[in-house]
Amino acid sequence: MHDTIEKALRKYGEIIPYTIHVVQSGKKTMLNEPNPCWLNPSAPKNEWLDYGKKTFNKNFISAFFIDIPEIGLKGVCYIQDIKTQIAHKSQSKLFVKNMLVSEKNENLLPDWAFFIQSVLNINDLSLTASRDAFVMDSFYLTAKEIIALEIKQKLQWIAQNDPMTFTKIIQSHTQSIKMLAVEDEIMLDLFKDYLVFETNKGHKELKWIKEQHETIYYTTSNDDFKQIKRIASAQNIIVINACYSFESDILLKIVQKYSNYSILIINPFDLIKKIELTPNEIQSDDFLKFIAKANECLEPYFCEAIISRFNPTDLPVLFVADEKSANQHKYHNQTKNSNNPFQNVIQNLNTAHQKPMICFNLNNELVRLLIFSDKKESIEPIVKLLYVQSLFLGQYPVQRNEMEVMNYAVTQLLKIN
Amino acid sequence: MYGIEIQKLVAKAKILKNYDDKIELIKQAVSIADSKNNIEWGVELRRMIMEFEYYTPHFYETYLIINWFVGMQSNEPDLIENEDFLWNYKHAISEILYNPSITKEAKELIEKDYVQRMTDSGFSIRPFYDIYFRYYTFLQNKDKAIEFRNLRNAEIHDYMSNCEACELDNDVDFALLLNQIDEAKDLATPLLTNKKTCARVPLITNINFTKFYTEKGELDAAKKYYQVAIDELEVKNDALVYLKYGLSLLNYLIESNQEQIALKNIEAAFPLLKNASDELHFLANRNIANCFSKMKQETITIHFPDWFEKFQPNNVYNLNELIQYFNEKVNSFIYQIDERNENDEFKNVYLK
Repeated sequence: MHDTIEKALRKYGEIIPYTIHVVQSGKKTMLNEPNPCWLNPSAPKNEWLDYGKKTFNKNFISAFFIDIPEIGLKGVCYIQDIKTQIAHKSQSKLFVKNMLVSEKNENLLPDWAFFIQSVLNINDLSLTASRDAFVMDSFYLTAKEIIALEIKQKLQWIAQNDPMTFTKIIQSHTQSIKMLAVEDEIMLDLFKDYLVFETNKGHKELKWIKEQHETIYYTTSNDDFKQIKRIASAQNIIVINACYSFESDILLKIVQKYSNYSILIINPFDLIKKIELTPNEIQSDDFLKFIAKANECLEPYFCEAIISRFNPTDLPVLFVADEKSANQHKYHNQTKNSNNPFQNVIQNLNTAHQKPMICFNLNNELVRLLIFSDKKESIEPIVKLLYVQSLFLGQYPVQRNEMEVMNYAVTQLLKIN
Repeated sequence: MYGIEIQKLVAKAKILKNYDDKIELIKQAVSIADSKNNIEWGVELRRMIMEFEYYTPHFYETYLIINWFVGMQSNEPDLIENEDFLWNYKHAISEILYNPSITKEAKELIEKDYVQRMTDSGFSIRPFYDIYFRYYTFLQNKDKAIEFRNLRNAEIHDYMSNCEACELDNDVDFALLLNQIDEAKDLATPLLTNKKTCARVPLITNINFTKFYTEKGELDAAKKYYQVAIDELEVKNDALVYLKYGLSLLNYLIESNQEQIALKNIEAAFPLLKNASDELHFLANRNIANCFSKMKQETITIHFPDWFEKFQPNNVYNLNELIQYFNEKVNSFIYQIDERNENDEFKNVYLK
């Protein structure tokens, strides 16, 4: 009984503005701390962090004090040091008029602040009759808005005055910050340089990307990015993989707001066009004949041939397709030669889209030998072999149909020899 | 390692709210599974996409996936659960009836294939006949509707059949078409008293009664059903449900002088039309055209999304131009679908 009362007093009366003592067997123990560090704006940060660690049982990157006299709110916000799911709600240990109301309140901090935990005391909000939730009146909604603004301002201050902490926050909570930057121009302005994007040159901050490249390209499809990254680096082009939530939205916002950014969407076909041969080369007889023959060989597989020069030189072919054409290629080959009644449906749904390209690399010796070879009968099996190889290299599914193509090609080559 | 990557994508998809975003993530997972030739994951992930697409206004991915399943089933029959597959196949059968981009030959081949698969798997073809019963009721072709209702009723009701509530709702709708209001009310009793329900029933039943009484000019009778329907729509609070069913209430709203609510309903549902199936486009355009044609003023103020062909930044539209636009859309669909079917069934009923 004694323990239960003591526990309840410690918990609910933690910051009651009077000291609570328990006297047992002549021994006097103080149960609460009316002036805890988290209500003191001048307390050292490490004291706040210690309190946070003890209360929430976890480490935090940093902490900051918030004081909003308009709603009688004081307390400390903690920035978590582990990545948190966006669906996770920010939790607050919440006191109202110095009495604990909830250890896990999820309704006071904005949704985007899911990486923040707080311990707050608030005087001017009304509680429901059961005293375990707030009355959701207009004052409550305004208070939420003010708290959100206050947190934004604090993050802004950290960005400008404490770059090390700021970098740690960015590293741990990129997704959240991107979401925030899409919604809010002030936050976009503040964070944009430090936002990290996946590029063909690794994960890079936008500031670095902008300094190194006049024009920034991006894709909105992961499959497109996989295609592009292998050739973009050799062309010294930077491409951002903006397939994930908020990323393309952020890039579009940046283009709209900042005229000194040149950010363009790109797909694998656009990139191949950038490295095409000159018109004179394309018009050469050998090339035209080779393209015609290769197209004839590739026609059953829903592909077209193209000749380019790219690095690395030991890569003879690339399978170049954007997401739609890659899907079309996949479904074309799956439905082929089967009694599938959906074949016609799929063809109708996918009409008028560009076919994937098998891009032959003129820098590669095998390709040069093939194009200028006198043994015209060997072109077909080698083109087919290279087609299957391009699928392997691009990590596209290679199934029974493709294995049959490869076996056929090898057999043909053996017969020729 | 790629298994974890797939699981991460699946977990992320589960916490997202938007079904198209969920589909995008699962498609990435499919790409990984396919690149590793992992058929089991390929099947499971595709099934998820179909499940998610059911909650969108489009049907594109499901076609691709059924096509994949059909191709895969001949190679790996044990990996694909026949019942799940046939259940989604049934949705496709219903969808192709209203999809003019699918040729008549393809439609017939698919129907034949579906019937064959159902029979081979030991299921009755009751759902196939029920789909056609509803289709001919929609086309107001009483003889054909009766023919397919009889065919349906001669088949046993099994696991693959449409749910009892849906079947009964089709019977109610047909009774309303025949103007047999007492019969319709009798049939509808278990639906309207919530004894038999499903995702669309009794919402759709109440909507059909509202439409029936509105067309008869009996607005007081219509109001009773309208109120229940609107309450249910509000509980569902889903723009897709408004698009699929809620727009059918526009006629009642206009006839009962609730023009502003009608416009609000159009505003709520219209954005989803961007990627919607032909069937949803047709139904929405028809209801909207009908609604606008009953308005008297020269211009209206309504918020259409900026991709709308007639979009006006000031949100003010000339009513006659809108009516003409939506009627043209309706008629264009009617000509296309009749051309596909090589008949005049839609023209006879719905041509403006």
